[in-house]
Amino acid sequence: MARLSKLIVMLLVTLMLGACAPKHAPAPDSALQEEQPIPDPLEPFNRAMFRFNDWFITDVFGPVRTVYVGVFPQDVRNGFGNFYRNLATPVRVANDILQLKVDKAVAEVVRVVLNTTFGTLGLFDVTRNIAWLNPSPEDFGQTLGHAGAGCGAYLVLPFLGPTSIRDAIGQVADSVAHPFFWAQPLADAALPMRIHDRANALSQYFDEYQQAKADAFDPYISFKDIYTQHRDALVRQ
Amino acid sequence: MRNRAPAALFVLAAWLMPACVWPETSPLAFVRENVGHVVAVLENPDLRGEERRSQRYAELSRITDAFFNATELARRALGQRWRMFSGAEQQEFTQLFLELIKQTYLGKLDAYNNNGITYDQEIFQSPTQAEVLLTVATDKGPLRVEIALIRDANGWRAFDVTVENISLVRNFRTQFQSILQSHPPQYLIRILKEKVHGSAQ
Repeated sequence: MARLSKLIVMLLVTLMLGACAPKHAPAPDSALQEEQPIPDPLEPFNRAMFRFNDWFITDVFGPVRTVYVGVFPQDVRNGFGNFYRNLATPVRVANDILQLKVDKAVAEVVRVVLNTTFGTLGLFDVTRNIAWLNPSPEDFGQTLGHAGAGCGAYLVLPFLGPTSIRDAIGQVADSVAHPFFWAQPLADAALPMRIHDRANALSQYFDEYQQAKADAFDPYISFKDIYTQHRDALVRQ
Repeated sequence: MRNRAPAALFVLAAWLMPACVWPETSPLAFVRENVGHVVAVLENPDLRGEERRSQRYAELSRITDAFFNATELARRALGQRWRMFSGAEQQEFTQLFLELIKQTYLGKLDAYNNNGITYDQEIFQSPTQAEVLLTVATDKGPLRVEIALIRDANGWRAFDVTVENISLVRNFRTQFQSILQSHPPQYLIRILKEKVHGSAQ
Protein backbone atom coordinates (compact mmCIF):
# COMPACT_ATOMS: atom_id res chain seq x y z
CA MET A 1 0.00 0.00 0.00
CA ALA A 2 2.82 2.36 0.98
CA ARG A 3 4.62 1.45 -2.23
CA LEU A 4 1.49 2.17 -4.26
CA SER A 5 0.99 5.62 -2.69
CA LYS A 6 4.70 6.41 -3.28
CA LEU A 7 4.21 5.42 -6.92
CA ILE A 8 1.13 7.65 -7.23
CA VAL A 9 3.00 10.59 -5.67
CA MET A 10 5.95 10.04 -8.05
CA LEU A 11 3.58 9.81 -11.01
CA LEU A 12 1.82 13.02 -9.97
CA VAL A 13 5.10 14.87 -9.52
CA THR A 14 6.31 13.62 -12.91
CA LEU A 15 3.06 14.73 -14.53
CA MET A 16 3.21 18.13 -12.88
CA LEU A 17 6.86 18.65 -13.77
CA GLY A 18 6.16 17.66 -17.32
CA ALA A 19 3.40 20.21 -17.50
CA CYS A 20 5.65 22.87 -18.85
CA ALA A 21 8.71 22.30 -20.91
CA PRO A 22 11.79 24.36 -20.16
CA LYS A 23 11.49 27.59 -22.03
CA HIS A 24 14.05 29.06 -24.32
CA ALA A 25 14.58 32.68 -25.18
CA PRO A 26 11.73 33.72 -27.47
CA ALA A 27 12.90 34.56 -30.93
CA PRO A 28 12.95 38.34 -31.17
CA ASP A 29 10.49 38.38 -34.02
CA SER A 30 7.96 36.24 -32.19
CA ALA A 31 6.29 39.50 -31.22
CA LEU A 32 2.76 38.36 -31.75
CA GLN A 33 3.11 34.93 -30.19
CA GLU A 34 0.71 34.13 -27.39
CA GLU A 35 2.46 33.91 -24.03
CA GLN A 36 2.40 30.38 -22.56
CA PRO A 37 1.97 31.06 -18.86
CA ILE A 38 3.16 28.63 -16.21
CA PRO A 39 0.33 26.20 -15.35
CA ASP A 40 -1.60 27.46 -12.37
CA PRO A 41 -4.15 24.82 -11.34
CA LEU A 42 -4.01 26.08 -7.74
CA GLU A 43 -4.79 29.69 -8.65
CA PRO A 44 -7.47 30.29 -5.96
CA PHE A 45 -5.08 29.01 -3.26
CA ASN A 46 -2.14 30.88 -4.78
CA ARG A 47 -4.09 34.14 -4.96
CA ALA A 48 -5.08 33.75 -1.30
CA MET A 49 -1.42 33.12 -0.37
CA PHE A 50 -0.34 36.10 -2.48
CA ARG A 51 -2.79 38.32 -0.59
CA PHE A 52 -1.58 36.92 2.73
CA ASN A 53 2.09 37.45 1.84
CA ASP A 54 1.33 40.95 0.60
CA TRP A 55 -0.45 41.78 3.85
CA PHE A 56 2.47 40.35 5.81
CA ILE A 57 5.11 42.22 3.78
CA THR A 58 3.24 45.53 3.79
CA ASP A 59 1.58 45.67 7.20
CA VAL A 60 3.78 43.49 9.40
CA PHE A 61 7.22 43.58 7.81
CA GLY A 62 6.88 47.18 6.54
CA PRO A 63 7.09 48.89 9.96
CA VAL A 64 9.84 46.49 11.09
CA ARG A 65 11.76 47.28 7.92
CA THR A 66 11.51 51.03 8.58
CA VAL A 67 13.31 50.53 11.91
CA TYR A 68 15.76 48.01 10.38
CA VAL A 69 16.92 50.30 7.54
CA GLY A 70 17.15 53.14 10.05
CA VAL A 71 19.53 51.12 12.21
CA PHE A 72 21.53 49.44 9.44
CA PRO A 73 22.60 51.69 6.56
CA GLN A 74 22.70 50.45 2.96
CA ASP A 75 26.37 49.40 3.09
CA VAL A 76 25.80 47.28 6.19
CA ARG A 77 22.76 45.61 4.62
CA ASN A 78 24.81 44.95 1.49
CA GLY A 79 27.43 43.38 3.79
CA PHE A 80 24.83 41.03 5.32
CA GLY A 81 23.73 40.05 1.82
CA ASN A 82 27.36 39.40 0.80
CA PHE A 83 27.89 37.26 3.89
CA TYR A 84 24.87 35.05 3.22
CA ARG A 85 25.72 34.75 -0.46
CA ASN A 86 29.27 33.71 0.47
CA LEU A 87 27.93 31.17 2.93
CA ALA A 88 25.71 29.56 0.30
CA THR A 89 28.63 28.93 -2.07
CA PRO A 90 28.61 25.10 -1.58
CA VAL A 91 25.03 24.99 -2.91
CA ARG A 92 25.99 26.85 -6.08
CA VAL A 93 29.22 24.88 -6.59
CA ALA A 94 27.35 21.56 -6.18
CA ASN A 95 24.82 22.63 -8.81
CA ASP A 96 27.55 23.97 -11.12
CA ILE A 97 29.19 20.54 -10.97
CA LEU A 98 25.89 18.70 -11.48
CA GLN A 99 25.35 20.80 -14.62
CA LEU A 100 29.00 20.24 -15.69
CA LYS A 101 29.62 24.00 -15.64
CA VAL A 102 33.21 23.68 -14.47
CA ASP A 103 34.15 27.29 -15.24
CA LYS A 104 31.36 28.54 -12.98
CA ALA A 105 32.35 26.13 -10.20
CA VAL A 106 35.97 27.35 -10.41
CA ALA A 107 34.83 30.99 -10.35
CA GLU A 108 32.67 30.32 -7.27
CA VAL A 109 35.55 28.63 -5.42
CA VAL A 110 38.01 31.45 -6.23
CA ARG A 111 35.37 33.97 -5.22
CA VAL A 112 34.63 32.39 -1.84
CA VAL A 113 38.35 32.07 -1.04
CA LEU A 114 39.03 35.72 -1.90
CA ASN A 115 35.93 37.07 -0.15
CA THR A 116 36.39 34.95 2.97
CA THR A 117 40.09 35.83 3.23
CA PHE A 118 40.17 39.47 2.16
CA GLY A 119 36.52 40.37 2.63
CA THR A 120 36.17 39.71 6.38
CA LEU A 121 34.40 36.35 6.13
CA GLY A 122 32.47 37.50 3.10
CA LEU A 123 31.00 40.70 4.54
CA PHE A 124 32.80 42.63 1.81
CA ASP A 125 32.58 41.53 -1.78
CA VAL A 126 36.12 42.20 -2.96
CA THR A 127 35.39 40.42 -6.27
CA ARG A 128 32.39 42.62 -7.09
CA ASN A 129 34.02 44.31 -10.08
CA ILE A 130 35.58 41.19 -11.58
CA ALA A 131 32.97 39.96 -14.05
CA TRP A 132 34.21 36.36 -14.45
CA LEU A 133 34.11 35.86 -10.66
CA ASN A 134 30.41 36.73 -10.59
CA PRO A 135 28.73 33.91 -12.52
CA SER A 136 24.96 33.64 -12.46
CA PRO A 137 23.91 31.53 -9.48
CA GLU A 138 22.86 27.90 -9.92
CA ASP A 139 20.43 25.99 -7.70
CA PHE A 140 18.86 22.54 -7.84
CA GLY A 141 15.68 23.83 -9.46
CA GLN A 142 17.87 25.09 -12.31
CA THR A 143 19.76 21.78 -12.36
CA LEU A 144 16.45 19.96 -12.85
CA GLY A 145 15.50 22.46 -15.56
CA HIS A 146 18.91 22.02 -17.18
CA ALA A 147 18.27 18.27 -17.23
CA GLY A 148 15.02 18.87 -19.10
CA ALA A 149 12.44 18.92 -16.29
CA GLY A 150 9.59 21.34 -16.80
CA CYS A 151 8.80 23.87 -14.11
CA GLY A 152 5.56 22.19 -13.07
CA ALA A 153 2.65 24.01 -11.51
CA TYR A 154 3.02 27.49 -10.03
CA LEU A 155 2.90 27.73 -6.25
CA VAL A 156 2.74 30.61 -3.81
CA LEU A 157 3.86 29.55 -0.35
CA PRO A 158 3.09 31.47 2.83
CA PHE A 159 6.12 33.60 3.86
CA LEU A 160 8.30 31.99 1.16
CA GLY A 161 6.52 33.54 -1.83
CA PRO A 162 6.32 32.35 -5.42
CA THR A 163 7.87 29.11 -6.59
CA SER A 164 7.02 26.10 -8.76
CA ILE A 165 6.80 22.38 -8.03
CA ARG A 166 10.25 21.92 -9.58
CA ASP A 167 11.82 24.81 -7.70
CA ALA A 168 10.19 23.81 -4.39
CA ILE A 169 11.77 20.35 -4.76
CA GLY A 170 15.02 22.12 -5.64
CA GLN A 171 14.88 24.28 -2.51
CA VAL A 172 14.56 21.19 -0.31
CA ALA A 173 17.56 19.55 -2.06
CA ASP A 174 19.61 22.76 -1.81
CA SER A 175 18.95 23.07 1.90
CA VAL A 176 20.86 19.80 2.39
CA ALA A 177 23.91 21.18 0.57
CA HIS A 178 23.83 24.43 2.59
CA PRO A 179 26.28 24.81 5.50
CA PHE A 180 23.25 25.62 7.67
CA PHE A 181 22.40 21.91 7.39
CA TRP A 182 25.79 20.31 7.99
CA ALA A 183 28.17 22.80 9.56
CA GLN A 184 28.21 23.31 13.31
CA PRO A 185 27.66 25.77 14.95
CA LEU A 186 25.83 27.32 11.96
CA ALA A 187 23.26 24.53 12.01
CA ASP A 188 22.17 25.58 15.51
CA ALA A 189 21.48 29.11 14.33
CA ALA A 190 20.11 28.09 10.94
CA LEU A 191 16.52 29.25 11.40
CA PRO A 192 17.18 32.76 12.73
CA MET A 193 19.94 33.25 10.15
CA ARG A 194 17.69 32.09 7.32
CA ILE A 195 14.98 34.47 8.51
CA HIS A 196 17.49 37.31 8.74
CA ASP A 197 18.82 36.51 5.24
CA ARG A 198 15.31 36.70 3.74
CA ALA A 199 14.31 39.77 5.75
CA ASN A 200 17.52 41.55 4.79
CA ALA A 201 17.00 40.75 1.09
CA LEU A 202 13.37 41.86 1.29
CA SER A 203 14.37 45.08 3.05
CA GLN A 204 16.62 45.88 0.07
CA TYR A 205 13.82 45.54 -2.46
CA PHE A 206 10.80 46.58 -0.39
CA ASP A 207 10.27 49.83 -2.30
CA GLU A 208 10.64 48.10 -5.67
CA TYR A 209 8.09 45.50 -4.55
CA GLN A 210 5.57 48.15 -3.55
CA GLN A 211 6.18 50.08 -6.77
CA ALA A 212 5.82 47.01 -8.99
CA LYS A 213 2.56 46.20 -7.21
CA ALA A 214 1.24 49.73 -7.73
CA ASP A 215 2.26 49.73 -11.41
CA ALA A 216 0.57 46.42 -12.20
CA PHE A 217 -2.91 45.96 -13.64
CA ASP A 218 -3.15 42.62 -11.84
CA PRO A 219 -0.32 42.29 -9.28
CA TYR A 220 -0.83 38.51 -8.96
CA ILE A 221 -0.38 37.95 -12.71
CA SER A 222 2.46 40.46 -12.88
CA PHE A 223 4.45 38.84 -10.06
CA LYS A 224 3.80 35.37 -11.46
CA ASP A 225 5.26 36.54 -14.77
CA ILE A 226 8.24 38.20 -13.06
CA TYR A 227 8.97 34.95 -11.24
CA THR A 228 8.64 32.89 -14.43
CA GLN A 229 10.80 35.20 -16.53
CA HIS A 230 13.47 35.31 -13.84
CA ARG A 231 13.61 31.55 -13.38
CA ASP A 232 13.49 30.79 -17.12
CA ALA A 233 16.43 33.13 -17.66
CA LEU A 234 18.43 31.51 -14.86
CA VAL A 235 17.81 28.03 -16.29
CA ARG A 236 18.98 29.23 -19.72
CA GLN A 237 22.22 30.78 -18.38
CA MET B 1 49.19 72.93 -49.87
CA ARG B 2 49.89 69.39 -51.02
CA ASN B 3 48.92 68.10 -47.56
CA ARG B 4 45.57 69.87 -47.64
CA ALA B 5 44.49 68.44 -50.98
CA PRO B 6 43.34 64.98 -49.74
CA ALA B 7 41.37 66.60 -46.90
CA ALA B 8 39.67 69.02 -49.29
CA LEU B 9 38.87 66.15 -51.64
CA PHE B 10 37.39 64.16 -48.75
CA VAL B 11 35.18 67.07 -47.69
CA LEU B 12 34.03 67.55 -51.26
CA ALA B 13 33.27 63.84 -51.65
CA ALA B 14 31.42 63.81 -48.36
CA TRP B 15 29.33 66.76 -49.44
CA LEU B 16 28.51 65.21 -52.80
CA MET B 17 27.82 61.71 -51.44
CA PRO B 18 24.15 60.92 -50.84
CA ALA B 19 23.25 60.58 -47.17
CA CYS B 20 22.20 56.98 -47.54
CA VAL B 21 25.73 55.89 -48.39
CA TRP B 22 26.97 56.86 -44.94
CA PRO B 23 26.82 54.16 -42.33
CA GLU B 24 23.89 54.96 -40.04
CA THR B 25 24.13 55.14 -36.26
CA SER B 26 24.68 51.72 -34.71
CA PRO B 27 22.18 50.44 -32.11
CA LEU B 28 24.78 50.90 -29.37
CA ALA B 29 25.57 54.45 -30.48
CA PHE B 30 21.83 55.21 -30.60
CA VAL B 31 21.30 53.92 -27.04
CA ARG B 32 24.43 55.64 -25.74
CA GLU B 33 23.37 58.94 -27.29
CA ASN B 34 19.87 58.81 -25.82
CA VAL B 35 21.05 57.67 -22.38
CA GLY B 36 23.48 60.59 -22.57
CA HIS B 37 20.57 62.96 -23.25
CA VAL B 38 18.67 61.55 -20.24
CA VAL B 39 21.69 61.89 -17.94
CA ALA B 40 22.24 65.45 -19.20
CA VAL B 41 18.64 66.35 -18.27
CA LEU B 42 18.95 64.72 -14.84
CA GLU B 43 22.24 66.50 -14.14
CA ASN B 44 21.16 69.87 -15.50
CA PRO B 45 21.10 72.23 -12.49
CA ASP B 46 18.42 74.35 -14.20
CA LEU B 47 16.07 71.36 -14.24
CA ARG B 48 16.65 70.12 -10.69
CA GLY B 49 14.23 70.18 -7.80
CA GLU B 50 10.57 69.51 -7.22
CA GLU B 51 9.49 72.86 -8.68
CA ARG B 52 11.11 71.97 -12.05
CA ARG B 53 9.56 68.53 -12.13
CA SER B 54 7.14 69.21 -15.01
CA GLN B 55 9.87 70.87 -17.08
CA ARG B 56 12.16 67.91 -16.44
CA TYR B 57 9.36 65.51 -17.29
CA ALA B 58 8.69 67.32 -20.58
CA GLU B 59 12.36 67.03 -21.57
CA LEU B 60 12.52 63.34 -20.66
CA SER B 61 9.22 62.74 -22.43
CA ARG B 62 10.62 64.24 -25.62
CA ILE B 63 13.65 61.92 -25.42
CA THR B 64 11.38 58.93 -24.78
CA ASP B 65 9.25 59.73 -27.85
CA ALA B 66 12.36 59.65 -30.02
CA PHE B 67 13.79 56.58 -28.29
CA PHE B 68 10.87 54.16 -28.65
CA ASN B 69 9.08 52.88 -31.69
CA ALA B 70 5.69 53.38 -30.03
CA THR B 71 3.73 51.17 -32.43
CA GLU B 72 6.14 48.26 -32.07
CA LEU B 73 6.12 48.68 -28.30
CA ALA B 74 2.31 48.57 -28.20
CA ARG B 75 2.02 45.76 -30.78
CA ARG B 76 4.36 43.55 -28.78
CA ALA B 77 2.64 44.40 -25.50
CA LEU B 78 -0.59 43.01 -26.95
CA GLY B 79 0.91 40.05 -28.83
CA GLN B 80 -1.65 38.19 -30.91
CA ARG B 81 -4.43 40.25 -29.38
CA TRP B 82 -3.18 43.26 -31.38
CA ARG B 83 -5.30 41.91 -34.23
CA MET B 84 -8.44 42.07 -32.08
CA PHE B 85 -8.10 45.87 -32.04
CA SER B 86 -9.48 48.05 -34.83
CA GLY B 87 -7.15 50.59 -36.46
CA ALA B 88 -8.51 53.40 -34.27
CA GLU B 89 -8.24 51.25 -31.16
CA GLN B 90 -4.66 50.31 -32.02
CA GLN B 91 -3.78 53.98 -32.38
CA GLU B 92 -5.46 54.93 -29.12
CA PHE B 93 -3.86 52.02 -27.30
CA THR B 94 -0.42 52.93 -28.69
CA GLN B 95 -0.64 56.52 -27.42
CA LEU B 96 -1.99 55.49 -24.03
CA PHE B 97 0.56 52.73 -23.55
CA LEU B 98 3.52 54.99 -24.32
CA GLU B 99 2.08 57.56 -21.92
CA LEU B 100 1.74 54.87 -19.25
CA ILE B 101 5.37 53.82 -19.75
CA LYS B 102 6.46 57.44 -19.38
CA GLN B 103 4.36 58.07 -16.28
CA THR B 104 5.45 54.81 -14.69
CA TYR B 105 9.17 55.03 -15.33
CA LEU B 106 10.29 58.61 -15.97
CA GLY B 107 9.61 59.68 -12.39
CA LYS B 108 11.86 56.86 -11.17
CA LEU B 109 14.80 58.30 -13.08
CA ASP B 110 15.05 61.03 -10.42
CA ALA B 111 16.58 58.37 -8.16
CA TYR B 112 19.48 57.92 -10.63
CA ASN B 113 22.70 58.64 -8.75
CA ASN B 114 25.20 58.57 -11.63
CA ASN B 115 27.23 55.67 -10.28
CA GLY B 116 28.11 54.84 -13.86
CA ILE B 117 26.80 53.01 -16.92
CA THR B 118 28.86 50.46 -18.82
CA TYR B 119 27.92 49.62 -22.40
CA ASP B 120 28.76 45.94 -22.67
CA GLN B 121 27.74 44.68 -26.07
CA GLU B 122 25.49 45.01 -29.10
CA ILE B 123 24.08 41.85 -30.61
CA PHE B 124 22.47 41.74 -34.04
CA GLN B 125 19.63 39.23 -34.36
CA SER B 126 19.04 40.28 -37.95
CA PRO B 127 19.84 43.32 -40.09
CA THR B 128 16.77 45.02 -38.60
CA GLN B 129 16.83 43.78 -35.01
CA ALA B 130 19.45 44.16 -32.34
CA GLU B 131 20.01 44.13 -28.60
CA VAL B 132 22.22 46.45 -26.58
CA LEU B 133 23.44 45.18 -23.23
CA LEU B 134 24.48 47.60 -20.53
CA THR B 135 25.16 47.57 -16.82
CA VAL B 136 23.95 50.32 -14.53
CA ALA B 137 25.85 50.63 -11.24
CA THR B 138 23.53 51.21 -8.28
CA ASP B 139 23.98 51.38 -4.52
CA LYS B 140 22.55 47.86 -4.30
CA GLY B 141 24.84 46.41 -6.94
CA PRO B 142 25.06 46.25 -10.72
CA LEU B 143 21.82 46.17 -12.73
CA ARG B 144 21.91 44.34 -16.07
CA VAL B 145 19.77 45.99 -18.72
CA GLU B 146 19.00 44.78 -22.24
CA ILE B 147 17.44 47.11 -24.77
CA ALA B 148 15.80 45.50 -27.79
CA LEU B 149 15.78 47.63 -30.93
CA ILE B 150 14.25 47.50 -34.35
CA ARG B 151 15.34 49.46 -37.40
CA ASP B 152 12.55 51.45 -39.00
CA ALA B 153 12.51 54.21 -41.57
CA ASN B 154 13.93 56.63 -38.97
CA GLY B 155 16.78 54.35 -37.92
CA TRP B 156 17.09 52.29 -34.76
CA ARG B 157 14.29 52.56 -32.17
CA ALA B 158 13.73 50.60 -28.96
CA PHE B 159 10.74 48.31 -28.45
CA ASP B 160 11.54 46.59 -25.15
CA VAL B 161 13.65 47.04 -22.05
CA THR B 162 14.66 44.04 -19.98
CA VAL B 163 15.98 44.66 -16.48
CA GLU B 164 17.60 41.72 -14.68
CA ASN B 165 15.93 39.27 -17.06
CA ILE B 166 12.46 40.80 -16.68
CA SER B 167 11.10 42.07 -19.96
CA LEU B 168 8.87 45.07 -19.52
CA VAL B 169 6.85 44.28 -22.64
CA ARG B 170 6.39 40.62 -21.79
CA ASN B 171 5.21 41.51 -18.28
CA PHE B 172 2.55 43.84 -19.68
CA ARG B 173 1.66 41.31 -22.40
CA THR B 174 0.98 38.62 -19.78
CA GLN B 175 -1.32 40.98 -17.89
CA PHE B 176 -3.09 42.26 -21.01
CA GLN B 177 -3.53 38.70 -22.26
CA SER B 178 -5.21 37.78 -18.99
CA ILE B 179 -7.52 40.82 -19.17
CA LEU B 180 -8.41 40.31 -22.85
CA GLN B 181 -9.32 36.68 -22.26
CA SER B 182 -12.54 37.85 -20.67
CA HIS B 183 -12.94 41.47 -21.84
CA PRO B 184 -13.10 43.34 -25.15
CA PRO B 185 -10.35 45.77 -26.32
CA GLN B 186 -12.44 48.78 -25.23
CA TYR B 187 -12.33 47.57 -21.63
CA LEU B 188 -8.51 47.45 -21.69
CA ILE B 189 -8.39 50.91 -23.26
CA ARG B 190 -10.71 52.19 -20.53
CA ILE B 191 -8.62 50.84 -17.63
CA LEU B 192 -5.45 52.02 -19.35
CA LYS B 193 -6.99 55.48 -19.58
CA GLU B 194 -7.96 55.36 -15.91
CA LYS B 195 -4.41 54.35 -14.94
CA VAL B 196 -2.81 57.05 -17.09
CA HIS B 197 -5.12 59.79 -15.92
CA GLY B 198 -5.06 58.49 -12.34
CA SER B 199 -1.27 58.60 -12.14
CA ALA B 200 -1.19 61.97 -13.88
CA GLN B 201 -3.13 63.49 -10.99
